[in-house]
Amino acid sequence: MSELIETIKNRFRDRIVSGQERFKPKSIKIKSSDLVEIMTALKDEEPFRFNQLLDIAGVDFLNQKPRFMVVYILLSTIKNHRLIVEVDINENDSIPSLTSVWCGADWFERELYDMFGIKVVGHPCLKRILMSEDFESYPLRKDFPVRGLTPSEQRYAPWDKRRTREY
Amino acid sequence: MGLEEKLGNNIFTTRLNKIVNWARKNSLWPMPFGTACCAIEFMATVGPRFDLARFGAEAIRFSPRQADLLLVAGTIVNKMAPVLKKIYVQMAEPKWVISMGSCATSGGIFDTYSTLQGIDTIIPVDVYVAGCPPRPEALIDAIMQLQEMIKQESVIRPRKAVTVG
Repeated sequence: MSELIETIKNRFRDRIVSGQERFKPKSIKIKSSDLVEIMTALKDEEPFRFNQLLDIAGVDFLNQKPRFMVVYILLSTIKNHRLIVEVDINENDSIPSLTSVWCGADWFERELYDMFGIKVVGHPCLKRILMSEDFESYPLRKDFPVRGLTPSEQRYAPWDKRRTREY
Repeated sequence: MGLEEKLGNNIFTTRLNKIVNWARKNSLWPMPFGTACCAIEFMATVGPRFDLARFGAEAIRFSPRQADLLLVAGTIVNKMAPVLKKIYVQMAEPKWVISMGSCATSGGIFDTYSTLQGIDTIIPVDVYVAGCPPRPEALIDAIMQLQEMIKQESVIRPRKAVTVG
């Protein structure tokens, strides 16, 4: 609908930090303390009815405060509109889990923890999902090198000294 | 010749390793360890156009205990590496390994923290096939090269054992 952001701003008043509808998909930015309440309302109330959580993504702005941003992509198959919800969080902060709202958020939040190290409070089983259990760092952070932390011998043939460039 | 003349038309003599190698190379039953796109090329190779069955690879067995050629087709990540090692160890001798594609040979374009940079870091490989993905003709060429290698094997001298652990 064309006045989606207006309607959201009227409903939630000043809990919406910012919203834009110039670029598709339309997006709003909220604080992590209001997350579960706003998401429940977006899922259940008319005229929103965002019944599908498509993805939870993370962004790492390395030198900014707050460092991370968590992005939720919502789709309403009932009303046929989309929304992006962004939440800024600092390093070592945690966000509440959305598994009580959409149960599909389970694995997305595990991936968020695995790749960025963003802890999720209230998650039924927060453990690594893509990397192996004993992996130590968080790969998709911007200060993690592409090749990995351990310079293992399998990276290059011992006689081939040319491959000394580090990323 | 001397002995065969007397034995008649139904019997011929040969060396043991020649007949054993002939039997082994012409009945290579592959186990496709297909994880990514190279598995699709393998499926194309066993399809009707580039028929792999004419080289004896008719029975594609998905169990390592019933196969003698492990065809690793696709990217192997560090999480999958112990599984690959387990499958290789479960195969019975004689066994051969073809590493199909760039990812299995050397990690391919994925020079990252999560990808195994070549399966030869964990299992011994007989033939490497380059390509991303290799054309079916390239895979058939690899099978034929493996057949040439098997032709020269010795039945007496044992193959090198693989240490587990």
